[in-house]
Amino acid sequence: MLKVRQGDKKAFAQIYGKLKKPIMSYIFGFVLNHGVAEDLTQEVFLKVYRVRETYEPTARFSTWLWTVAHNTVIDHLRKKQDLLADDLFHDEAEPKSPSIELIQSELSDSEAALIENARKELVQDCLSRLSPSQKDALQLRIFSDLTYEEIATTLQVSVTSVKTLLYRAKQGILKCLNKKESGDERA
Amino acid sequence: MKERDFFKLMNTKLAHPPSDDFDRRFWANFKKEFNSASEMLSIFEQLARMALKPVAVAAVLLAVAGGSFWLSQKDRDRQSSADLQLVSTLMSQQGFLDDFEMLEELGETGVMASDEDWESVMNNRAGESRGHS
Repeated sequence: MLKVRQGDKKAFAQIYGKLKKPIMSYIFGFVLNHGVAEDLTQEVFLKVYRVRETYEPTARFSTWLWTVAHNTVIDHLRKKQDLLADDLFHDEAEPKSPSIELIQSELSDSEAALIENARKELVQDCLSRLSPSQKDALQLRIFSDLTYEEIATTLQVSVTSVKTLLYRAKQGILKCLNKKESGDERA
Repeated sequence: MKERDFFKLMNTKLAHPPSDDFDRRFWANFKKEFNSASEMLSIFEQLARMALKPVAVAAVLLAVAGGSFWLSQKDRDRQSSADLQLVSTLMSQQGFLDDFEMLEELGETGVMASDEDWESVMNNRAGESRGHS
C-alpha cells in the first residue's frame, strides 16, 4: 500500500483489480443505475490515486479506500438531493446493541431458502427500502473485508451503532422478502 | 451444504460487476489524467539534462586537456633525460671525437704534393720510426 502512495502504478493496478467489483456493487446499491455506478466507481479509483499521498499508514489501506468510496457516494447523493444531511447516522444509534452472535447467527433453512429463491431485483428492491445508514453499513459488511471497528471508522459512528444498523438491516431484508413472497403467493 | 451466512447470500444476490469495457475506459481516463502529469515531469527532466549537458562536455574537455598536458609533460621529461644521457656518453668519448675532428680537418685540407714528395715523406717517417726503435 505504501507503494501506491509512492506512485507505483503496478501496485495500484493490483488493488484496482481486486476491489473494482465490490466497490461497483456497493455503489450500485445506492444509485441503482449501471452507468452512474460505473462512473462513480472510476471516480473513486482516480480519486484514490490522485490523493494517494494523503493516506496515513495508521489505518489499513482498504479502510481508507472504502472511506473514499463512501464519501464519493454521499457527495453524489447530496448533489442530487437524494439524501438529506440528517438521513445518515442520526436515527439509528441506540445504547443497547445486539450481540455479534445475533448478527452473525446462521439463517434458518426457511430464511436461507427465502433469499436464495428470491430474484435479484427483489433483493435489490428490499435493500433500497432500508434507511441510508442501514444500507451503507450492510453493504460495507457484504462487499468489503472491513471489521466492525473499521466499518465504524468509515461511517464515523460507534461500533455499537454499526451492530445495531446491521441487526436492523438483516431483520428488514428478511421481513421485506417475506412480505414480497407472501404478496407473490397471493398474486 | 446450504449457505446460511446472511451476508454471503446477500453478496450473491447484490453483486453487480462492471461492464466488459470498464477496464479499458478506466485506464484511458487514468492515462489521460496521470500520464500527462508524468510527461510534464519527464520534459522537466529532459530540460534539466540539457542544462547539465554543456557542463558534462566541459568537464570531459577539461579532463582530456589535462590528460594530454600531463602526457606531454611526461614525454618532455623523458626526452630531456635521454638527451642528458647522450651528452654524458659523448663527453666520455671526448678523445675519440678529437681524433675524428682532426682527421676530418685533414680530409678537408688540400695538400698539393707529387708522388715523389709523398714517397720521401713516407721514407723519412719510416727512417724516423726505425731510428726510434
